[in-house]
Amino acid sequence: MLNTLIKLAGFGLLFIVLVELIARTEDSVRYDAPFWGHYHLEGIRGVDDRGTVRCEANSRYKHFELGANGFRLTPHLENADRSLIWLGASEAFGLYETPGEDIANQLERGFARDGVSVDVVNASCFGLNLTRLQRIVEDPVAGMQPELLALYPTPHFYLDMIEVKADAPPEPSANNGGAGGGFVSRVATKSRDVIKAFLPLALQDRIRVYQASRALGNTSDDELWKTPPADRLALFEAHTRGLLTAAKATGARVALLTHANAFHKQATLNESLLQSWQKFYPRATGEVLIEFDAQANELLRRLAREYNVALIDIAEKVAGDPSDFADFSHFTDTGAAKVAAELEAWVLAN
Amino acid sequence: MIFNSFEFAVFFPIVFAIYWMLRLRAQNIFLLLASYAFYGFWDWRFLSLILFSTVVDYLVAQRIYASDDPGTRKRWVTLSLVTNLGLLGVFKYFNFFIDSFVEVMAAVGMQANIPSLQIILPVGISFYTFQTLSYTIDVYRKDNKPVTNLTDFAVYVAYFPQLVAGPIERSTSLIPQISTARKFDLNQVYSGLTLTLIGFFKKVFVADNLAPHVDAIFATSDPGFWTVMAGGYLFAFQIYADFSGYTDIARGISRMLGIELRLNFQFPYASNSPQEFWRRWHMSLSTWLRDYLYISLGGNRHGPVRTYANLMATMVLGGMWHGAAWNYVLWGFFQGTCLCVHRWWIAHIKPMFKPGLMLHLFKVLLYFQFTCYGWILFRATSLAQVGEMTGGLFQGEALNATLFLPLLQYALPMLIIEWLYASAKLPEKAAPFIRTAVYSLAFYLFVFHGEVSESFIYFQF
Repeated sequence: MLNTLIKLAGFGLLFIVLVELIARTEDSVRYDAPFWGHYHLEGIRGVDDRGTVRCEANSRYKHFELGANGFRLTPHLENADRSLIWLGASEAFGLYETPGEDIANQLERGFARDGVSVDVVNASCFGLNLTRLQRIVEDPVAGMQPELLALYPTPHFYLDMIEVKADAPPEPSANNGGAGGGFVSRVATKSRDVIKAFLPLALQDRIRVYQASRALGNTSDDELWKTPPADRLALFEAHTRGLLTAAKATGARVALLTHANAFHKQATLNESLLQSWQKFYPRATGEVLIEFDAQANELLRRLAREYNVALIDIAEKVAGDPSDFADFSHFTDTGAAKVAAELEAWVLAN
Repeated sequence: MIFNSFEFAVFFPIVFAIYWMLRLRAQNIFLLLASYAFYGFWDWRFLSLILFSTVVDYLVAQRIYASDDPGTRKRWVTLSLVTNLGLLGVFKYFNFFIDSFVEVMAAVGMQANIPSLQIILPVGISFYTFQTLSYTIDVYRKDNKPVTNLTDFAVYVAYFPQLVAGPIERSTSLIPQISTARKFDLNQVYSGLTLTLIGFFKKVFVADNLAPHVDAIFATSDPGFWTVMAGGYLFAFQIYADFSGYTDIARGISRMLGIELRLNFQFPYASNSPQEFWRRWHMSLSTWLRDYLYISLGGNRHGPVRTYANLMATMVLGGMWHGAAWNYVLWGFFQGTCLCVHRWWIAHIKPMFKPGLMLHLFKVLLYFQFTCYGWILFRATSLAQVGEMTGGLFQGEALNATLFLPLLQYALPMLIIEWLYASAKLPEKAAPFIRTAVYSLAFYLFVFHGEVSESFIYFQF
């Protein structure tokens, strides 16, 4: 019995080591990840020598093979008749779309289908708040002299626990694909998502509630938002104004897009989905998140008129169909196709 | 409850731990309760059907055994047949016959207003009905003695690893294992665990990843030759991985509990004839049909014409066993035709060819095409689709190689891993490192590249 136990324990250990090696081989082959060392989503985001946050072109990271033609480090445009720079956070970069089906790629294909020569550059990256977008617009977008510039601001960043500051560039991630640091099991990292998805929805919700309450820490009840916080909305407005000023200064024709979410025009509220959104912004209730998005969109509509830039009301046009969203605000292939179609219509009309 | 669910992931370790702490009698009572909980998790109301079948067949078998009078014995076995097949008929085929009757009447210009009922098909009814029937028929034929302990018999009927999708166990094999003490054996547990792993790999990585490709092909309107071919090939591997994966999980789980279930699949697509195919595919059903239907009808004992008729009847009924729809009848008819033609071929033409490896491979390849066509009949959602897919085979189309790509992605790894495992090289002879490497790969693919569907294809039967 003891011999069998020792033998099986040996097999178990070998099994764990082999599964880890398989995981690392796959990451290495499919995503160019380092075989040893850390490998993290942050690894595809970096800060260039001008302090600009950017995602690497054609970045790839485990579950989603992004494939988005991300921000080109060399600021030049293709030899096309027209050029469009598409700028936003993760919703714009493409997080859940299948490779090649992100908004920028679909848009480029749409132009090609219609025989229109437009070079589309996806300068988006996840986590870009408006001040970071403004920094990108000022440099290098302005230097690239695009003819068209489409902006997709993400209002809910402004409901973060800490206030969004006119920021200093973030430190480059320590997990930027290099070696060093302690051992982190790739299998354990991958398993977390698999286990989460395997749990019953009710249990997942409870975990989210727990995570949200843990994130709140010692936050008192008074600090929780029961209505959309006016100061955060004011900050969003101020940053949007800064972004629009910078965008207009590039000389490009600018389009401002409203922000779509999976809850607008829905007959019944998907509580589970709302919970998954709220987890990231625990000071706000689900209703506050939705209302804040709505008020921010109203603001964007007003600012578009005030700054005399085109408005593409994505919030209204991509709404009511849950299949357009992979989560609370990121698009599926079909959602991305709808956004691309709206952008194309705007370009062709200009 | 299905095997690839969170509920089962919680359920089985608890059952396993408690089960091995108990002695035989308590073990069987616990196994029975666990089996009822497993089934009741889906719909507890249908437990009454299982209980009813269990009690009827338990008592009937006692009566049959107690009597020496052929007439009395026959009456009791008829009661068992009527009860079990009656339940199956009502729950599985009632609406089918009513709807078909109404359609036939409408076709001849008459209107029949017979309401169909909202009947839910109890999961696994086809499997446990055949299993209990085999028991009473075996006792009637004096191949087996009745069980004296009701709990043991109830476990035989409701044993959870194989309750909802087989293998259809024979009383002669399963009941003795239930009635005698099981000994905890770590090697057996390890062996069961690895078999379960292979099963999950086949189900979650292969079948569930192939499913969307198959669905897309069968949703194509006006398909051409290559599309139909791809549909047949992909579904062939999907249904095989799904069903044999389920069986492997069932056998693996049962092995961990110290009970060996029968083999249900043995490389069916390596068959070079329909006869061989049915010796390798869903073996527990095909042998059941052979032993209790084909032989009862007379088998091959009454001349060639009756033999062909018996073959055809067995396969058509076997097709209907799968589901209450005309495409299953057609599939059964197709299988029966293949068997009849093959039988005739062997008798009249086979001697013309010299056996050899090339001929064998050619026959395997050729028969695989027939198998895949059969799967198209099986997978079709209507007779109209059968016509459309069959017509597609005669419709030219440019080759789209990407349609076949999932075969390389999913079917090929399965065939390699399964060959290593089933050829007995992996469990026994392979070096520990190679063996563990294969298990690791299967585990990795199933956990990180699997798709999770909410059912198994054969649950609907």
